[in-house]
Amino acid sequence: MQTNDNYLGYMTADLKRYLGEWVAICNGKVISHDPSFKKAYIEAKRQCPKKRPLLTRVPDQDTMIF
Amino acid sequence: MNFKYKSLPRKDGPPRKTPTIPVTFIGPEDSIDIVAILDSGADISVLPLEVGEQLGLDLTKNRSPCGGIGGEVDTAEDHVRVRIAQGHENYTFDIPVKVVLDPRSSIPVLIGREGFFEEFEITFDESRERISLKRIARR
Repeated sequence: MQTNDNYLGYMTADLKRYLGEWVAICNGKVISHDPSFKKAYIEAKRQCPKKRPLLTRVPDQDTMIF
Repeated sequence: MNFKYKSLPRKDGPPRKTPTIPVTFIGPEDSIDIVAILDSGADISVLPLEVGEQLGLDLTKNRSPCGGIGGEVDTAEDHVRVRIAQGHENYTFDIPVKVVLDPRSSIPVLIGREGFFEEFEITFDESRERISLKRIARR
């Protein structure tokens, strides 16, 4: 279950520097980022082993809709 | 449940207000909290390959090309459990998803209509930059 802290951290984060990357948020802060989902996720789990990180991909182009 | 639009940066141009929601995806091998774009224009939900693999979804069956504004891509269809929660509200149910098999794809996680939109009365309030999800009562 996502924590409220992480969602609030996402809503207030300036994601400009992470264009095209996956961002992981734990304790309300960005703790890892990488173009690879798996790298960002594994690093987030390493840094926050007992918590659930919240991940999102920051689009690097206008979102193409299926 | 109400979620504010998120101002997402763009490479060229001003940030774009985007309807996103936090969702927990629960697969056979892992469960992951992800912020997804709520996409009323998508027939079905879409996951990037790495997310589908991490969840342990079956990527060998139900393969088909999938077309959209972004062009045609190969996908595999499976089902995944999703949980969406806010405050005292907490809903869990299964939805179909198409996993984009091209590892170079930059597709974000999209929540499309099939399996999700029939669970809620969903309002996109552009003027207030807010999404409202009201659970539809089942008999």
